[in-house]
Amino acid sequence: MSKNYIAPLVAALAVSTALVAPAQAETLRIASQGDATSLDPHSHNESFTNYFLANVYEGLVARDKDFEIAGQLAQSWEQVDAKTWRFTLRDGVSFHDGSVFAADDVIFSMDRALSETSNFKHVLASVESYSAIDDMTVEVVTKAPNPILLNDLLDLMILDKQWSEANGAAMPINLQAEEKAYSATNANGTGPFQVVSRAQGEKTTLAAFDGYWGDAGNVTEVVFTPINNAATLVSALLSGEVDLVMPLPLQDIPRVENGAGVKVVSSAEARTMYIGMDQWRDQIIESPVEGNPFLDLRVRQAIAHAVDAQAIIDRVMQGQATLATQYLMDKVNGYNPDLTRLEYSVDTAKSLLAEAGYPDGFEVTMDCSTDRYVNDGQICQATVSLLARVGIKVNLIAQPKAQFFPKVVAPDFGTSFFLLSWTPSTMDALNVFQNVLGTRDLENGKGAWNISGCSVPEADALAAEAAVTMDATAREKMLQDAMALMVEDVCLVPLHVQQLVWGAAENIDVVQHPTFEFPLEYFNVN
Amino acid sequence: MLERIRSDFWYELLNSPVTVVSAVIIALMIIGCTFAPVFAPHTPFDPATISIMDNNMPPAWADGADPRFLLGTDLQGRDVLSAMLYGGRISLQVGIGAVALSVVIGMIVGLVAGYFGGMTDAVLMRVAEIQFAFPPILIALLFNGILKASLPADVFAQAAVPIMILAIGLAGWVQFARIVRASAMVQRGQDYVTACHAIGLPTVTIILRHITPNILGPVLVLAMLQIAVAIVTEATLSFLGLGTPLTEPSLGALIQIGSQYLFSGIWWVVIFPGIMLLVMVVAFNLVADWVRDYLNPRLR
Repeated sequence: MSKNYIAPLVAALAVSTALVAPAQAETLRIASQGDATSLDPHSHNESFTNYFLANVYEGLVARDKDFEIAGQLAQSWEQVDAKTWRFTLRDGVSFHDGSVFAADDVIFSMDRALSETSNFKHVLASVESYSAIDDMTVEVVTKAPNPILLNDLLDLMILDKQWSEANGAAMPINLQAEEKAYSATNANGTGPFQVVSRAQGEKTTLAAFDGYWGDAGNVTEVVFTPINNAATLVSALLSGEVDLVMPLPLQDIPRVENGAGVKVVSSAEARTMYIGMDQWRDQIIESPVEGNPFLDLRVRQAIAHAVDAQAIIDRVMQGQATLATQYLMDKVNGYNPDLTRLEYSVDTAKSLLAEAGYPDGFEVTMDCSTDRYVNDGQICQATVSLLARVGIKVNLIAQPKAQFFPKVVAPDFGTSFFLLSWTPSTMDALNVFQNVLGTRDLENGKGAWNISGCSVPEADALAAEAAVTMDATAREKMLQDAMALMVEDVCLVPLHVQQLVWGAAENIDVVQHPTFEFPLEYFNVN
Repeated sequence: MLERIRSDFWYELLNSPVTVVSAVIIALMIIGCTFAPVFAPHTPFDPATISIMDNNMPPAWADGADPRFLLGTDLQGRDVLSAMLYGGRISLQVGIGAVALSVVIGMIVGLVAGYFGGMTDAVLMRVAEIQFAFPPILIALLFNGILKASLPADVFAQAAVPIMILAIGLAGWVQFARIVRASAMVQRGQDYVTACHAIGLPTVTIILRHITPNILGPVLVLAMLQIAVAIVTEATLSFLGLGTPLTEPSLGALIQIGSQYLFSGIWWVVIFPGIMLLVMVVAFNLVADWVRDYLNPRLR
């Protein structure tokens, strides 16, 4: 063989090696108790759905591996003045279908998030206007100075304008109407993973997006399967059928801790569980009782006294939760350390009920999901038996979240008594006031998750003031005072702050955030 | 038929100890479950009497047990034994109720088709065959689903037992219709039917007073077998989460709840209701088997 042949041969070899063996295919198989409710990133503000989709869609900003807010589709930003923010968009970003990301996509996504059927109006609640300065620059003007605009924007996912309009997905799908639109089963984001196949409730497959602008990590394929039976879920993990189970059923923690090749990963989660009571209807629904007992503060206090949250933590949550004194986890900005719980006391509860005119209690229907939160169905059952002791007869409707959410969400709020929870994705209490505690003002994106319909105007005023206060200390004090007012009014009965507990195969590195994000680009298959 | 029962019934029965044991078990279960409020040590369906602090207690003979709970407690603190008795009551109610409904529908369709024949027979039996082409569990799921979609959630939860009876009963009538039709066709040509016609008895009287008693044997056997099937169907539906509410679980629902804890060492919540379901179904099958042999003249 003469020397002349060698160079082309080497080149050919190099090319064929590159073609045949790219980075090794690493499949991550994830199982969870429930599925994302749809693939539309603006239709259902539920942590699991949001953060599942955050692997496919991206926002202007996102939390990085260390839970700090960093630019995602925004390369950088500057504050022109107290109310004006200018975002420089990242160059060379393309959507999964190949079209190029530009400022009109951001404007379109903001319009979409503010449209009628959106569940994300709150993310732009502080925004007066927004516009594209040029192809790569977006300017956002807030109504008043907003110290946490970036936190607010975390949940605003960006869609491709052309793709959405071409596929009839210019508006978010209506969750309550259980609409089956294109965007419910198809996705086209800029994220590190693209949806390859989707069968709701059965299996969703993601593949690493070749054209991703950033580092997509070493996971090349993600197979997500919902499994709503604890034993099946855990056996799938133990047998190696799946690599990651989130959340891990609490009763199986010891089994996984002692299992070979598997491990338990846990950390504190910012999710506060609570019981909600209808405070807006004159007549509660699905109950034979005349009128609405929950309008009486004493009845709400009685329920808070009757529900032994510590027993639920010890017995139902196997100790994997901490008692909540308010509607926040202690690490969230605006947490009020001075608040205490109404103590568990059947006698106090009974006498309060008697004072309110219900010495023998009353009957009410409770709505509860069975595959959304850790042991949600069990928490509800325990609540039923705890309330029975003070004479309140609860008819429990325990249902999968696919039925639960459409029933209880805006605009019908079809429940008078329910179990729910909230994680402020901004890690700031204002998010809770905007969504859960503030007086409902759906058109302005406020109180979309205030299913109780409670309203404390003084707290609203304090929250509104905090929203425009730049001084961090004064702002925190306002949020704390507002929280104290809500707790005093027993808007909701706080139960516990749950612990984030996952089960994983030994060779999987995961990243846990208190807000339950699971950015798969930071996960590793070893 | 009645005469034969008087002459050798007890002799034949006592010659089959398996059947005697099965019959005794069925009797005990029916009595125990029917009067569950009397026999059960606790009232698991009354949330006021359940304490979450008593949960996950092992059976009385294990370490850390509480003598108040013979077979232990579940995650909610319900006494497993009591929950089994109350749950068994629901299972029996659904099993017997659904079969009663199937028998009534099946006998009416079968008698009409078999006696009148012709077009009536053809139409009724084709309808029956179409339904027969689908597995009963699928039909029950379908009826259950339709009712669930058309009734408000709270009504559906409260009417769980009648809805299950309806769903499973409507799924099971075809087999009865087929054997009743076959027997009715045989009886129609018998001399006694001709005699009835001759003396001018109305058709309804002939069918109800004279033909019906003569076809009850096979219906009885099938009914006993079908009770076992209906109980299993109910357990399956409940296991799939379509049956009784969490606060008033049937045996199937108890097994479903318990199956969540298979890996956590809390085995008693699933094993005991499972054994009870198994024993109940096997006992009904064994008794039905014996009755079939007893009524079959060719085996004598």
